[in-house]
Amino acid sequence: MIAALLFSTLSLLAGPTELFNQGVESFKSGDFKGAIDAWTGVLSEGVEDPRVYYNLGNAYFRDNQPGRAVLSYERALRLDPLDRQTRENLEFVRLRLKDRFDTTGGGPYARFLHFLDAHASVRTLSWIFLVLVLILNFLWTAALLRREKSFRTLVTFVASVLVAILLLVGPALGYRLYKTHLVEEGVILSPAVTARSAPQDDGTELFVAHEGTRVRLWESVGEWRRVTLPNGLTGFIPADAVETI
Amino acid sequence: MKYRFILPVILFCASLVTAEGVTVSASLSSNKAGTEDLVDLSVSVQGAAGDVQTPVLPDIPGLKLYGGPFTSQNISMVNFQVSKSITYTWRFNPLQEGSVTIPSLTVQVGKEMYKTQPLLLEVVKGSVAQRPQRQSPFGSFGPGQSGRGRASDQEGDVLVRVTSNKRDLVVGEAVVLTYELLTQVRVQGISIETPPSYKGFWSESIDLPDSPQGRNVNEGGKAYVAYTIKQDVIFPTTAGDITLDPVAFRVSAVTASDFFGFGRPEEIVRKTEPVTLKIKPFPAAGKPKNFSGAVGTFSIQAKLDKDTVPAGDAVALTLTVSGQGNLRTLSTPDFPTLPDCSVYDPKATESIKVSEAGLKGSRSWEWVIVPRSKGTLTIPSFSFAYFNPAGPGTYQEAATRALTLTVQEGKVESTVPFVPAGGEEVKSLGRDIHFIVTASDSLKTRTRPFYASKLYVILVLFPFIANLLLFGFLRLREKRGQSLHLIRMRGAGKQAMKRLKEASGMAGSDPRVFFKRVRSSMTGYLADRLNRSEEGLTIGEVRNILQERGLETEDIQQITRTLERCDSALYAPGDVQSGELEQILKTARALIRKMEKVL
Repeated sequence: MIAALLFSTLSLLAGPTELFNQGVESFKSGDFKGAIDAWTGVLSEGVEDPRVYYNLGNAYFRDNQPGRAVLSYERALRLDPLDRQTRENLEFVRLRLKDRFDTTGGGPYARFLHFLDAHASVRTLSWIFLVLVLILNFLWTAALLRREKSFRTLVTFVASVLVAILLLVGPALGYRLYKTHLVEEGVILSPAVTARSAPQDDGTELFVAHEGTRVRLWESVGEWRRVTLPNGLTGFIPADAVETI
Repeated sequence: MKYRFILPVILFCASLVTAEGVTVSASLSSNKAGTEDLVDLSVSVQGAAGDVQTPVLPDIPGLKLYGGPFTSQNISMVNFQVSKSITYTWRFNPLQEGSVTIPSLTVQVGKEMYKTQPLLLEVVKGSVAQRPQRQSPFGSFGPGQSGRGRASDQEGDVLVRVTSNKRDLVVGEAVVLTYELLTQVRVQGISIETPPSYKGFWSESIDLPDSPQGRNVNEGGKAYVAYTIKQDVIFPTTAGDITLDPVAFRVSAVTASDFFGFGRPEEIVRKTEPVTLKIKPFPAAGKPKNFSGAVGTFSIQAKLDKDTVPAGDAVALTLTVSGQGNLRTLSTPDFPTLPDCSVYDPKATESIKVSEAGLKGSRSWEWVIVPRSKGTLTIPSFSFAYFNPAGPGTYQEAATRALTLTVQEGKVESTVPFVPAGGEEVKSLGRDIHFIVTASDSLKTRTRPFYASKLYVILVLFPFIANLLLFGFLRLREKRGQSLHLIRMRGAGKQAMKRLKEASGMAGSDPRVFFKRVRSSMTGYLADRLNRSEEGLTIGEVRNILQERGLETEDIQQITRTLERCDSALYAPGDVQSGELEQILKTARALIRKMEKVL
């Protein structure tokens, strides 16, 4: 008890880097709860690094909290969608969850969006978009000011290629922005939660979702939250059973 | 189909007619039975009118239930009297000799209870099974014919026996046990009831042909057909007198025949006699040091797969022990220590055939040797000691010759151990999550992403807006330039006429200004029309432009002449006749009008 208090005061005194290293040491020695405390402390100091979320995911998984592990990995992927280790760990943890959803199907459009999820972050796409826009504007300026026919032909050719790329990148960026900032998603943290047709305890039972399942979050009604499962099932669950990614 | 209908009617009649006169009796197939025999207990109900309940059989000590109850029903009609009889049969196997009392059984017929009389069964050791004489007028098939007319108190006409090819032997010596079926009747099948235990032995089975060949033998003065049913080679592992337990076989024999001579199979259990083997330990006298329990006759051979090898390369040494005896239990021979060599654990292979002669074949060990330095390597001879029970009954020793291996200079002098051949793809042993990240350098703090900053929006929008403005400006400028030109073009004629008017005003006072105005009326007109500067227009250029625009050659000539006259008057003033100026004005006016039409 005293040791725990001492530890927490120590961690208050230490900077984020020291705290992070403390977490690493705790994890290595098998003290997963200590590691969770340390890394959560790092986050509360304003750090937002995918590596911290990734480590937290590992610690939660080892501490038998698959729901929080999934949540942490999802948060890490929000920041760095291309990290293979995070992706593989998330996949590994998902294998141990009670709810399974088939996400491999879908048409070419769904597969394209899926591919985007896995291969492009909003930051990357936004940079590509910006560079493309700047180059195109420069070319436009040049074309306006220089009126020779041969120069204009060259500019038109280069610009049409760039516009084609922009037409791919632009909607992708839009979709990613929409998904990141307009769609609220969460992970179920209760071991099992019953979804009901209405935000009341006596609402008709619609389905039971289990810890670690990723859901789309809709409006809150009192203590209830409307959620949609990956397979389309929708219902109200207690708001404290789910946490936003 | 017909009978399905008739039967209920008969049964109905039966229940009506024979309401009384029910007899219930129990009987045994034989009052005397052996422990290897099967006995049938039958309970029959005759003249039953109501439903007959299947009697419940109590547990009878000394008898092992083998099967049943088998039910047989019989309906007969004599003098229009229908009688129905049901017989329940159980089959037993007596367990031990002595007498067994079968208690009274209760049978419920309709609502009445009937009791059977208790029965006594005498059990003797072995078998007393008595085969009924064949009555088939067509004779019988199989070897059964020879069993005809046999005395009833003798051993049955099916028996099994075991023979061993020797009784006195040493530890590790092979003994062949042959199990035979001797029969005088037709046998449909045989299976092992209690398998041999072979405690204190190590055994191998000999593969027998699928369809055994019968041969005629004489056992106890009687003729039988004998079949080999099982053959094992066993090797004693300890010394002493060891008795092999009897092995029981279940024989399905066709003993009785029906009227037409078709046999009815009967299950009989037959046991072999116990066999005692005298096993001697190895003699202590003359026992070689390296003797490790090999019994039989053996030879030994050593071979290297190559004679010369570069240092660091592998060479295989194969040691083969071949012969006859307890090959499978041979232990790995000791490998001598070789100087400056890596020797890997041997791989053992064997090629052994199990036959009536015991185990025959060979057992090999292959060592991989990697010499580390160049030179000549001598592999000393291997010796192999064994006990030969046949012939002299003494220890003998076989040895290989010493082998020499020439080791050449290796390609790369290396002490890295050679990995023996036969690798395989690396397989995944398990799955787990990846380990945590331990590097804590430059942890990113929570920041607004760049794409959400004002700068990003400015960078995306500003150049675009700037370009839009630039585009607009250029368009506007162009438009204005065009409208100026239009105004200039439209006003060109008027302007020219105005200049000519000025010229006519000057005609009297200053002829130089007059000529200047006339010239500029024409060049100015052209410049306005073509939206260009008047200054650069020379007479030659004017001619070219007018030719391009398709003015008539005569007019062009007139224009050039007029302009030339103006120029000459400007630069070299001379006498000017008064009528000439009027003429020039007239011509210029006409020419401008003409140009207005064409240009």
